[in-house]
Amino acid sequence: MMRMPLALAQQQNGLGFSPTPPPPVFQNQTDAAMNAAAGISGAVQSTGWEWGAALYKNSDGMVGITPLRTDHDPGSVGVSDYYTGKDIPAGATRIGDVHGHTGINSPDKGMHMSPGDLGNAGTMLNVHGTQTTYMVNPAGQVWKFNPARDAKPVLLPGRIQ
Amino acid sequence: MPNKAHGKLGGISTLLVCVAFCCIASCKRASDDPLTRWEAIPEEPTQNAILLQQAERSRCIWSVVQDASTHRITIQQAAHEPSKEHQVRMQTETGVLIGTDNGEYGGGLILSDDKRGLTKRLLDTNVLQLLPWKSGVLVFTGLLHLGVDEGAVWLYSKGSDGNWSIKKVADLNGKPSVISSANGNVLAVGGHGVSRLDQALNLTEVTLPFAQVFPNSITEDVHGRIYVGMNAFVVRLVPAKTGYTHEWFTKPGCLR
Repeated sequence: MMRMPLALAQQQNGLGFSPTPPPPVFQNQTDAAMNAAAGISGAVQSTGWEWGAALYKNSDGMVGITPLRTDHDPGSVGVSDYYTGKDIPAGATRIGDVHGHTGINSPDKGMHMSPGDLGNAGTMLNVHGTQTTYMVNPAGQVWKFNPARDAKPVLLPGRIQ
Repeated sequence: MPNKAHGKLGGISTLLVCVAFCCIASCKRASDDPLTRWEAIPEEPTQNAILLQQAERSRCIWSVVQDASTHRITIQQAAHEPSKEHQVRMQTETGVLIGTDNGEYGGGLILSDDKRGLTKRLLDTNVLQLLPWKSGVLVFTGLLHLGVDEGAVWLYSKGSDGNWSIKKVADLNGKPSVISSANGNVLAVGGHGVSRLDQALNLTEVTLPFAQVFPNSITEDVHGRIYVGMNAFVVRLVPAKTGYTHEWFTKPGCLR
């Protein structure tokens, strides 16, 4: 069953749009990723820019999401430690990231993971020891890729409305 | 006696002229300062300071612009553009350089010579900007996507053997978001701060907490002072004995 998207507050400010912060923690990684994907999907549709967030695991096993961010760019979004590390609580470890495609300037309309997504997954696996990349496409489908376990990206069941 | 009086009057006149000149000169200096009526931030914010969090969502977006003829710097209200140009071109004596930046889908630098029907791929990375340089073309590359944050500058130039080639000049501290030339130097700014390439291609990097303020413009005045426009702030870098001093300015109502 598909999770409800995050409530998205439409505010006029410097970003032109401001997503409501996600709930602080989730029981598992998939719940956290799907919730983040729902918020990101709404943000992408509202702004035409890519949005993303990092996923982290607290010492008690609960999973959190950093605040959604954008670089005002339809073709990429940075969620490197420099940009999101400040939002990861002390003692927590980074376990992955989530972002959304706009479909702009992409050969497949943003439907699949890009070369940049796959390259990032491998790089982050080497840096952090664990990494799952999630991507929500313009149709609301969520792809998952863990280079340590998956030979290729896996399409998750359901669709973000 | 008349000569003495004349001399005294002459001295007073000279003094008055000097005072007037000084007033005009100082007034001109003040009017040339684009930040005269701005509020200075007394202490530079550190990464993730409250001021920067406020700036991240500020309605004020400031852009610095230099007039090409007068070199005067002005500050204007700006907006985050809905999309970016993802192709840059420059004519060279070997053909047209075409740089592409498709974000996470990659990019590259191609040399296209229509006369000879040749196309040569020079770089396999996202090309952000091409700038004419005295010995060729400067090529800025970079990508900020998920955990990847990289930038570099390259020089496409003719060697002593007459052949053209491309070589990396330097790696940059992350992807630059804006690149421009001023005073014969090249400036770049991104989330990690400012990079400056002088005319001998010496790189100076100034680390600044720009991750949350989205720098959108950069220029340098005739005195070597660097101005950066961004969310809520204009930052001025003033040359010092070693490096630069940093001055942060804002306007009332931009931080809340």
